[in-house]
Amino acid sequence: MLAFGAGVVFLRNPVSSAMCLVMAFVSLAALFVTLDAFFIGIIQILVYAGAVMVLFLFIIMLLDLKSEEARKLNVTAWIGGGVVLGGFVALLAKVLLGTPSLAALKQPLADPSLDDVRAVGFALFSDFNLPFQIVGVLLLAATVGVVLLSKKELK
Amino acid sequence: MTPQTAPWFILLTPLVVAAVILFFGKISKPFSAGLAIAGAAFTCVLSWWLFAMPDFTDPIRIEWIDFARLLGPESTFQFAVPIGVTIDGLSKLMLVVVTTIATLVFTYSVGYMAKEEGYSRYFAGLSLFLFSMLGIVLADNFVMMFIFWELVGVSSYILIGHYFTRDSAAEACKQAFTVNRIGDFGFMLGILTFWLVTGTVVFAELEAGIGAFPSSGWLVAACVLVFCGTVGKSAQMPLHVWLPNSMEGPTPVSSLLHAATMVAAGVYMLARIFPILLAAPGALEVIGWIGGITCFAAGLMALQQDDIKRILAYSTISQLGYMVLGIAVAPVWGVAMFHLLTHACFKCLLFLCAGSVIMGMHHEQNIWKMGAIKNKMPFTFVAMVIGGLALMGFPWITSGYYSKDLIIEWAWGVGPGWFWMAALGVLLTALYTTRLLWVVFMGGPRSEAAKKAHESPIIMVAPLIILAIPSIILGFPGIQQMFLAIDHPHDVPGWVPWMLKAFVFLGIAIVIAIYRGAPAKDPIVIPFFANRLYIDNLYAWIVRWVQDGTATASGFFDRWFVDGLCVQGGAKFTWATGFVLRFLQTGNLQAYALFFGAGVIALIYFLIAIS
Amino acid sequence: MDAAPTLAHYLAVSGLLFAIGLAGVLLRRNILIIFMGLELMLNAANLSLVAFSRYHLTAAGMPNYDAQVLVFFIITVAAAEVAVGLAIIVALFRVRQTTHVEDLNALKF
Repeated sequence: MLAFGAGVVFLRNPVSSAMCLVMAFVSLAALFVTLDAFFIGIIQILVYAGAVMVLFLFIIMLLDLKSEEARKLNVTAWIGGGVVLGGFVALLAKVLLGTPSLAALKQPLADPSLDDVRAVGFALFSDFNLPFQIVGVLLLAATVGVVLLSKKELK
Repeated sequence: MTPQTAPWFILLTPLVVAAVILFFGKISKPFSAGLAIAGAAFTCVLSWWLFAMPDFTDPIRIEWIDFARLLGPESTFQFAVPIGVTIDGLSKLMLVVVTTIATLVFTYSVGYMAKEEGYSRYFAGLSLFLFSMLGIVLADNFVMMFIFWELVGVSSYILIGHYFTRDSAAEACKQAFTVNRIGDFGFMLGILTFWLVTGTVVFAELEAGIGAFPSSGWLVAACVLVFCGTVGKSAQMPLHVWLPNSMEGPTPVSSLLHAATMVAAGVYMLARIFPILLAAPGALEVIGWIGGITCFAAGLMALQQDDIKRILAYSTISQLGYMVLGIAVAPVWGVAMFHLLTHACFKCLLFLCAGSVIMGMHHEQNIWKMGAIKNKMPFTFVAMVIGGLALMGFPWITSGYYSKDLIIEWAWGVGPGWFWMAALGVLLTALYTTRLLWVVFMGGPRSEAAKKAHESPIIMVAPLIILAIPSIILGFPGIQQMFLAIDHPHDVPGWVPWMLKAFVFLGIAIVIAIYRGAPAKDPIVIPFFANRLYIDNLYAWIVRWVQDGTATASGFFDRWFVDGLCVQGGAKFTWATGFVLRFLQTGNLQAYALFFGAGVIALIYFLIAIS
Repeated sequence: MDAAPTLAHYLAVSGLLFAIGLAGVLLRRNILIIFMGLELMLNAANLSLVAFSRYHLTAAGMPNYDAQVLVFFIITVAAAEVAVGLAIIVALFRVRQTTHVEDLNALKF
């Protein structure tokens, strides 16, 4: 999965990047499943691998993007990026290695049958009802916004 | 109507009239004028009626501000300001003078203002003026007097600035107001001092309370501060400059201002607190010197003026100097009030005559454009000569003679400096008055307007004739005793009255000798006098210097401290910071993302480091 | 690799995925790829959330579904964000005829 992720970033052809992204998402979904989060895994595939990636590919085709030709490297950007990334990874390692409680193994679940769609739905409509409604409004707003942005006459 | 309620009617009628004219004056001109005259005449009749009544000691009084009631009787802060009236010989006399003069001036105004604009506004202003003045006269305490004192200032501002579209008039009313404010500030401080020490502002209680002054120095200081109000309002020497400039108002206003109201208020106030002044000889000393210097110096200034109204204005200042001197030298207030009374008549007469001349000359005020109009305006001529003779104190037959000589004789016993200033003032008065009369009425016509001069309408001439009578007879001992009981000093040498008479004749003779040839312009030019002893220039210079200095200093402060440091400093700091920071703005999205990421990682690092 | 992965393993994967996404954002010039990098970062966050959900069981012995609800929200918002973002990119492309961020330097003094 990490290889696919790296492929997203380092392949020059945007279509290849997008394909790698699909694969990264699918493998991420697999990881979700190993974590007993079936519902999340399913919507991961549905929303990302399905809807979002179709959008990406569609846009790539629409814009008729060619693979990037090699440009000269922006040294400052690479150095800066390297420093930031290095710092981040170092931080990550420090936290992961320095915190013993993270080494815990998976505990077996009390109820292995696990109808987590029901559980998530229950949580959504009880404890998180208000954010859920707000997200609905957000989606509506996003739809309207996209339509507006896509209008050609828009200056 | 009882004598107790009459003063309130007298006081409030002009106010009601002013309000009605203000709101309904647009109906018609005769309505405004008629209402104003009716109001003034009503107060006049009431005043005379009251004058004929005996004094009473229980006037109606309204408790206005009473801290005993507000804070409870146990409070340590006990202070009451009533709105009340004083009815005694002094206020009754003043009421009669004010209302009578006002009625005549109102009537005269109908003719004078007939073709002027702002007719209703003018009469509303006059009524308000009358109201304010009556308030001063009737006030039984300092605070009430001060309120009306300021009201007089406001209404004089309105009237002097009647032709507010003219720059000079606007300047003049502003100056009158400002200069008066200077005096009033002292007046206010004086009132506060009196209140602070005696705990009361009511005149009747003050006399008993002056024993509370810790030292005579305090009392003198308080009296001198109060006297500052007089200096401003009665145009005494350092603060006299507004009065000649107030000639920008319509002539009847000048007449009212100079004769019965406004300037007389200062003298009246001194008479009102006369018993207190008697206890403060130091204050009387100051008052005397100011009065003496004023009456002499203003006479000098009057010698070389060319504007008919300005000559009269300086003569007013000079005569007011006599009155103030009269307060200082005589043991009773009657001496000063006597001159105030006679002066009110003849100065009002003179101004109304001057207004008549100005009307006849089609608004020409320069006396060197007049001449030889005595036959064209006979009534005015006769009235003005009477007024002029009274002003210079022509012996035996005029009122001014009796009242002015009385003051000078009293001055003899007090101080030779005062005496000689006042005595020479007589000579000066004779000089400038004769010069005025001669140049205006005698000789040959000096302009086309002088040839075409015509007599004024009857409504203007009638008040002249009415006023001419008291200008003559008011001083006769028998008539004088109807109004005032005053004593003559006993220790004056016999040559003093004769010298004064000689001064009058000498003045007249000198002027006639010089001006007999009917010159086209003044044969004598003394720039020092013509420029009013350069006092106006000095003030202008001081004001300009102080103002410019203050302006420069505050401009410097504003530019470098407020603007430079406080306002622009912040802006410049922000700008400089922005200038430095803008090199970070590469415009590259990823650079921004880089900074953002670096910041987040640093933040996480610190969070972890802390925990 | 052990048969039973620990929480630390998941978190490491999550962190590395995040780092890759960040690298894409920082280093690539194609704005579309940058966008994909952003998606990767979001998913990395999702992964760690789900991992925490699984490893911190509730008292009933079930996964903590609060975290999963949060993931649900993130996915929803990300979907909306992708839609709007791509629409913006299209609009931008119409105006500038480029998808290279170095050519989009209007945010500059």
